[in-house]
Amino acid sequence: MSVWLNDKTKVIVQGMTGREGTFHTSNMIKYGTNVVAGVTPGKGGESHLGLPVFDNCSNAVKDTGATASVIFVPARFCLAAVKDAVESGVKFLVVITEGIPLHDEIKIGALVRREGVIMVGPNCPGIFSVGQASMGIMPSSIFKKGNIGLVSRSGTLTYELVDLISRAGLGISTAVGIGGDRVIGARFIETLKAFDHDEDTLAVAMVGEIGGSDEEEAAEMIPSLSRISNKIVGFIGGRTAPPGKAMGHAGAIVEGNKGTPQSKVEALESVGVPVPERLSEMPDILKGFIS
Amino acid sequence: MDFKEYQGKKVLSERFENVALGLVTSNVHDAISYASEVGFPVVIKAQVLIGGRGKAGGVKLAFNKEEAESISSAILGMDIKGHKVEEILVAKAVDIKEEWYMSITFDRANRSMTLIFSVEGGVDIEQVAHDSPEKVLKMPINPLKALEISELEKKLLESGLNKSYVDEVVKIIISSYGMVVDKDLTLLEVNPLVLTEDEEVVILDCKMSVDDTAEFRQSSLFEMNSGDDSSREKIAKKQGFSYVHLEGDVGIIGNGAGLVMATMDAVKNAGGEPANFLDIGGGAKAEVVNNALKLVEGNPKVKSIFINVFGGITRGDEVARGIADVVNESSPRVPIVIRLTGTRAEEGLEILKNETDLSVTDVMDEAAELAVRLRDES
Repeated sequence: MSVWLNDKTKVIVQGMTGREGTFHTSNMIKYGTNVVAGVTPGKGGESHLGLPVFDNCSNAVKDTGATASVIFVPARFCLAAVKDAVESGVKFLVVITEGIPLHDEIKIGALVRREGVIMVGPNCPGIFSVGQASMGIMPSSIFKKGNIGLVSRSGTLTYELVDLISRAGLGISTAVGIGGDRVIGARFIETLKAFDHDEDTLAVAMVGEIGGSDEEEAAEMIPSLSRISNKIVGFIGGRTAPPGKAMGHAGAIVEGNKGTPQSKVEALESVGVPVPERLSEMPDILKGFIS
Repeated sequence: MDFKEYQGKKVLSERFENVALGLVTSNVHDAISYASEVGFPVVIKAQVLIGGRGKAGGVKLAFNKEEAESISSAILGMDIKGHKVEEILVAKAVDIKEEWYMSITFDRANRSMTLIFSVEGGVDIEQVAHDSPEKVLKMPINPLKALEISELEKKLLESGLNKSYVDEVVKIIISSYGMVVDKDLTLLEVNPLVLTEDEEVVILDCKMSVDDTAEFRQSSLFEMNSGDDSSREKIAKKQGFSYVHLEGDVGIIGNGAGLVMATMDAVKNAGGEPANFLDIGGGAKAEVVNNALKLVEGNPKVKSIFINVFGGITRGDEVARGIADVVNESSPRVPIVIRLTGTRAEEGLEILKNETDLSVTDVMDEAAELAVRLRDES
């Protein structure tokens, strides 16, 4: 099938009536995503892009049976938007918004974990199941359908790698941009497990970067995967970044001796995940995995 | 954004009475007259944004006017790990009975804030945690609940705090956590938190950082530090992109943090040294590219510039159009290599080839090698 999102998934868009929301929602619909409603507080009852708009997610879910929501609201309203989505019973969330204050992100993270909601993001490009549906802002033109799963902390590196994979004659099943912030929902661990359960995914490319310990924790888990444990290739961005400075992403920072590229590369290589220095070397390794 | 000790103490004094505020000055005479007024001994402390001030000689006791003068003069202007001391804090010395440690800080592995307390304060807490971990209380804080007072009391006792001070310390911790949340702090560290001979608990030192992404709702905190607006980082922030100054000579511009990091790595792989990190974000509009180019070029060390753009939602031909216009108007002083790929990259590359004399390619590693070669030639 695909991971977390397919062409049947009923999707609501929080912040659909805004400029960004309008632009990306129409792209999502054009691609075939089953968008069923928009949510903008105060605009309930209106119609936008041919879809009903609701004041809150609960009303939207009652009326449409939606199970997923993608959030485009400005950073200062994001915590409230996530609360609204979680209370409505939606089980899958994508948060595109960047620049959310840390304390709000901590609350958002704790909330979705407590309620068992899968959240991709914040500060991410979203999720793209090729040939089926898109929640977020990934450009559909670069994708070709195939059997490679992709999970990445960086938006543009996701596109970069998708492009390289397409040019190498391979294709993508689902691409998940998990985001580069200090607190995120789905990490490498959860995403790799989901790929392991997806029959359409035969191999996975994971794009990490400096900061935090999500790559190391994923490395500990990888040997326990049943299908793809020896079909994962990794990349770590920011090998040359100086310590103590955040490189664009709030989470891309080497703090003291934590979050160094060496520790991540070593952890992944120790469980048999090759980590080439160049992104351009990844497609050949993937070819080897699925041939 | 990090605060200097005296700035953090000023913020704390909104909610705490016993903060050793003292006087902040860059003038030796003011220091002496303040010291004479409050009475000796006084402590004189360098105000810089770096740890290890004490070991570097930036914190000293003065027992009389002469010492106050000589110590103030010595510390002002001192260089502590690359930070020049421009201000000192002068405060009446307190009679210390015990020194404790308290901090509330973001713990990435737990995805929460964490409280740390120890009765062994005034020293490096990492060392205490290493030598006697039982003396360090470490408690992740659930952001969806209030602090559990009974649990806190129990843990403070277990960590060796005398029962008669538990109530006072609990009060301080609760107020501190309230302040951390209300003011969007990512770090509040009080080391030492002091018990005086008069049985008072006093905040003697403080490290504080506020979350940069919360500026929109913490403007008064950010105004405390608004003096220096000249750095490239700050100019970039105003123009809406993120910039980090580095030591090399190959300027780097790209769209997307991950791509820019990978570009730095590619330049290094090709034998070059990046001069900066600059992420112009999505879109890559002409005006933004123009501002970015000026900023990078303005660094005198830069000898070549590598622009790395992925056309996603924003099409490659539109990006190329913008870059061509900017470059033709401003005629840059150093050679520029452009690598463009993604949506409609071929059309974009055609525009750049036909309308500019920039070096153009669609392969990242190739572009990096070219940028390094052009640096060597210029």
